[in-house]
Amino acid sequence: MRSPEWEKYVKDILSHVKFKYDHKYIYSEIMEHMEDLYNNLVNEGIDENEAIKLTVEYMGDSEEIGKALNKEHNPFVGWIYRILKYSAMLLIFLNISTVFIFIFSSINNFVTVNENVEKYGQKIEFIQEIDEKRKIDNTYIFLDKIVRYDNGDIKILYSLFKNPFSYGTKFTNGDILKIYDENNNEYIFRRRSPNKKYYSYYEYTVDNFPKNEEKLIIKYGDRKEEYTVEISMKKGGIYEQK
Amino acid sequence: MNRNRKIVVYSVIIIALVFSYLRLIDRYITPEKAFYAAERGNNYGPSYDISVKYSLDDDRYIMIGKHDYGISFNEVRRTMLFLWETGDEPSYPGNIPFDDMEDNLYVTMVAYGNYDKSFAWGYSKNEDVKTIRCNIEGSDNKYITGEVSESRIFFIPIGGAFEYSIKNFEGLDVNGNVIEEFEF
Repeated sequence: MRSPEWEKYVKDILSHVKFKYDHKYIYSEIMEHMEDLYNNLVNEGIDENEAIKLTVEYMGDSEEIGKALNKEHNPFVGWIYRILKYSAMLLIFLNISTVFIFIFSSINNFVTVNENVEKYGQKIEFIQEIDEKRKIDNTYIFLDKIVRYDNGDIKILYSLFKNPFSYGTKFTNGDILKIYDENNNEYIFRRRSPNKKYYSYYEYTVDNFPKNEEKLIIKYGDRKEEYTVEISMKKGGIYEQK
Repeated sequence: MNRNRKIVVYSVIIIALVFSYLRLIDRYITPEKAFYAAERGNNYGPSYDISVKYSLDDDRYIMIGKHDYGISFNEVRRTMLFLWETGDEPSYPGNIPFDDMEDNLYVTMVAYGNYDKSFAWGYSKNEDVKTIRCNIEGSDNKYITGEVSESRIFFIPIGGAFEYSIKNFEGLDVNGNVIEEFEF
């Protein structure tokens, strides 16, 4: 229910409220109140046109109401409220979009590394799943698999995941694995460096790991904790963790 | 909920979201926090003593700290006006474990810019060493000295990397006697 008289009345009230951004809210609040008043009058048997006029009369002096609302809708407080509200929305968007970008780039990195396994240019002799998981400091380490190629090269695929809200997510120390054979000879590797954020998927390539070696030993960790995984280099072999 | 209460609620939410975002993008409020982040990101430290905080320019510091297993060298830089971050890569050399220091006097050098700013820094395992003397090759016995901090870390600005040819480093005790020596 709207009438030109009501519109004029509310407009008078709003002319006293300086903070224009609250006008829409105040308008709908007053109109709702006036409609409730109008419906009550009509239900009591008062003629509709009379009820329209009486509603305005019962609402009270527009100037008084306007000044009271102006006090309540202080422009300074109003501006602070608006700034905070839109700042919160912006920050929510920034947080969510940042996490989304990192998730997307991590998935992209995972797919690219696994594609490289096939495209290495050598025939794959076997793939050994490792499935070793451990937490060191703020980093989760997942040793995923070993790929043995015909020419003796080995790829070790593993990933590191950091809690996004922990310190130092800008860097991930990918060089945490050391590769040995059963005689404790250490092997140099080539590491493919991914983006270094929360989740990074790595491939270590060890050139010419001797084919007669029955075990590949991976040691990883930091000064406080070190772990060892022994992996059988025979097809169908298993791995042991220590 | 009235507007004043909403303002309080929004303020709390914004503070939480700001800290959350700073963590997600790896930015810190102080250079020290950025330094610790560089260490933690590489799974060592954090240092319990930052012995050196050297200003490379208005927006960059070299910081050297000591942690349980070694010493730590990292560069931090200002970003986004008042925040701090670690460098693009962990500063060379980053973490130097005590186990990797073969000699009592460990010295290494770093250079910045067009090698116009170079520094010798390191660690003295010998507690009696109080001063490090960097001897310059040449006929007039030039040298540059630096003090060893309480945590036994030293940091000596050398000037231009090619300005001098360095002969050796000597560790001096409180009386000026040479008790340790290091050559590259």
